[in-house]
Amino acid sequence: MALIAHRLGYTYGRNTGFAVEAVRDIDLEVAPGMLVLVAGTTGSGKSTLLRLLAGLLEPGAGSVSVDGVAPSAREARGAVSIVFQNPESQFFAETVLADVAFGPRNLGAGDPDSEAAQALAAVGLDPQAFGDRSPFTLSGGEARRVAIAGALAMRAPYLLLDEPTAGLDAAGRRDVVAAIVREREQAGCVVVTHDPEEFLAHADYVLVLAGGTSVFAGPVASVYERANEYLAAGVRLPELVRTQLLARARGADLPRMELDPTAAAGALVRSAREVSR
Amino acid sequence: MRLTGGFGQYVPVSSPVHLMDARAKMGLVALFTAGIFLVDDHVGLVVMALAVGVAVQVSRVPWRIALRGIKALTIILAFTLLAHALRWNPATVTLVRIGPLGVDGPGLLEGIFFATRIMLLVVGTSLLTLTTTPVQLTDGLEYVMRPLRVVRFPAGEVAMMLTIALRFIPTTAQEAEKIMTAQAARGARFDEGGPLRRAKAFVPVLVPLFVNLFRRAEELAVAMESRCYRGGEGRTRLNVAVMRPSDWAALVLGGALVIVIGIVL
Amino acid sequence: MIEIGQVTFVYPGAERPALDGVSITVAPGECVALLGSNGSGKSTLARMCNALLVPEIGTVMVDGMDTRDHDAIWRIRSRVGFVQQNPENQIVGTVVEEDVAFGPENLGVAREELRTRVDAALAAVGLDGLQRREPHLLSEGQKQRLAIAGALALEPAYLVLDEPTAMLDGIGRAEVLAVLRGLRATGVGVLHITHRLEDVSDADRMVVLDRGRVAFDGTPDELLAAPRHAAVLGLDLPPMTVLVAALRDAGIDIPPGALDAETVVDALWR
Repeated sequence: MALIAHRLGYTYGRNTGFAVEAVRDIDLEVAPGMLVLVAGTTGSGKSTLLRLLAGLLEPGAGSVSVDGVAPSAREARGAVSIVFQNPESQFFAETVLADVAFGPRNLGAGDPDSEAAQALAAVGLDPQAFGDRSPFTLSGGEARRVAIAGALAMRAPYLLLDEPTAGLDAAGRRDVVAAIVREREQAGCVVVTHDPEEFLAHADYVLVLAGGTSVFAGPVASVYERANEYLAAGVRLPELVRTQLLARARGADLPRMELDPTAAAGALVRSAREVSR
Repeated sequence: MRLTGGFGQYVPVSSPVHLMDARAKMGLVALFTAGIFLVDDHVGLVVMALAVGVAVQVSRVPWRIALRGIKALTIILAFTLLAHALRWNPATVTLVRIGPLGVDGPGLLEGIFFATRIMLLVVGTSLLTLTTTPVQLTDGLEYVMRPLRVVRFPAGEVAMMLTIALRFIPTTAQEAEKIMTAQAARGARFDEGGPLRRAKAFVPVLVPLFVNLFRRAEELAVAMESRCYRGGEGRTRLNVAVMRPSDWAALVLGGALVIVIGIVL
Repeated sequence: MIEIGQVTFVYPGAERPALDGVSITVAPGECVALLGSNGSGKSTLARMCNALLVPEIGTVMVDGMDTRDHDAIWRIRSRVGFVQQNPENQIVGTVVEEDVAFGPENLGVAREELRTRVDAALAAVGLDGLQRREPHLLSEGQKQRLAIAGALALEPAYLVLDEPTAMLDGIGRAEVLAVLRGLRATGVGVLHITHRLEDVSDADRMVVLDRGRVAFDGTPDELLAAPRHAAVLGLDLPPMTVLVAALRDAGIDIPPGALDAETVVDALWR
């Protein structure tokens, strides 16, 4: 039971004079309950990879399978949900509930409104309070979460999100991260981001793309062991992590990488005192 | 940019025609239209056809693109041909006869004349849009509309509206595609069912597109006001098209040519 | 000098004022950061600076001109450049140079000078050479820099930017911040509105708005030295600032504005 990419590759405009190889030789395995981060700069192939995983593009090389079948196959309908960038720009219904219910209604769900209500609750929005509101009157963070609820309502076992926190303020980002972290209990989540810092504490696996290929892949814990490799891959490490790595390099004993600043401060002060003795 | 475009769409090659001032071209098209309606016999039409042929050749627009408009008009052309060619109980020698209707030599020639005139008109006028960018056309149009300001017609503002519309066409197209993909990912189908069902399927695409358009318009208005836009009066321009001697020559000579052909032949 | 004096403004139908007795100044050459959570009144204040909105109570003066003076509006708007959040919706021209020229064209600037201004503005934002490019082919960071160039072409004395990096990714943000940093040397007064503290850590002054009122007006160091206060005001605190505050509490001597690993570790190891 997994969403698997094997030696995946894709070239845009293959038979024209303007072929661009967007993705090359990517391996990935996502199971329900996992949160996978795909990091990389603009143009690294992250969005193309997401579309391949969703079945919106057919692989040029290699394969994608969700529980054994291609995601674009009819049997796989409803297996993979995808939330694109700035999803709140696709609102069309008069009420939040109606917009969120669009997905389950299209898939032929028995009670789309009920699915929609549950999805709203799952992203931390009370269906009673938000259900009847117009989607065009929501704040940035609320709108983003409603759009994500629209995908959650389809109850797919795999959820792909393209830059889910882009353009939001701190409160909005916190709410979205919390919603995704809650959802990963049910679904395998793949989050594409150019700024992995806020998800690092919750992720299981990190894949870094550059120029369409994988330049770093491994469990999150390995990011700290292989920090130089990670940095060389062009991804910024959270400054907090860099501080602890630097302290380690100077002899401090920091057994665990702290991602909470206050805890990190405590650990740093203790270890610095040890070193000076 | 692709060389293949929609009918009449700008073809980005370099040629003397492309380099001509848009206003000279617009003037030529007007004179050409007048001239071609003045032609009243086949010889004149053949000479006009040669003139158009030379123009297409000089413009370096691929022939299959230049002639594309004809394909779209096949039905009209066929109708025109038949309308002139078919005679009721013709007295003269007929080539074809279907009951009381017949096609004879003179009728056929007449049909060909009128159909050919339409074809030449289409090819000749499409040369304007094939060799002139939308921006050049808009600027040319503004110049032509300027006299209308006397009757309070907002020429400058209309031209600004056209420019902004042009500027946002690729952006809006990209946005429409994004919205369609997003809705499709939520199970929307745009190719199922009869015409009514398909039209309804576009509501989840059109509503957000329009909402975003209004938002866009508001932000753009703020940006324009902040940059001191107060309407078309008193504005200078960075790139101003200037009529060169070659443009005047082309306009005057070309115009004279087509009028002469029309009158004489 | 932009002088905002005791300004109060209420949107029609709103329950409470968007701005309530706000006073701020921006001196020539000064870089002032305006921070606050959503609904604090930051955007409203931005629009006060170039007479897009006028106050009901209080005054907004730009180099001695009152924004309520109808005759002065266009002079004010050529004195105060304005850049919004969404790069796409500020671009009017069909090619880059035409868009940059839009502002001075509206002012009736002569054609030779238009060319000079356009090229200078594009150079100032690092887009020199892209004069004939179509806007939809630019990256988001390039589009926002184009918007800044469009404002600079008016040769303003002040530049107000309303969350200029909110919709940009890391690369675009870095490009825009680099341009703003470069502008400081030219003597343009900057009012930079943002919710990201680390974007404006090198500002001369920071002003924090909270529900329409000024909750803080001082130097960045003063604000960063009191991170709990900043958090209460709904500001987006970089984790490093929280770390530094915790370390200072534990007695380590570090400047409150420190944001990088080296400074912190050096201080720890002393």
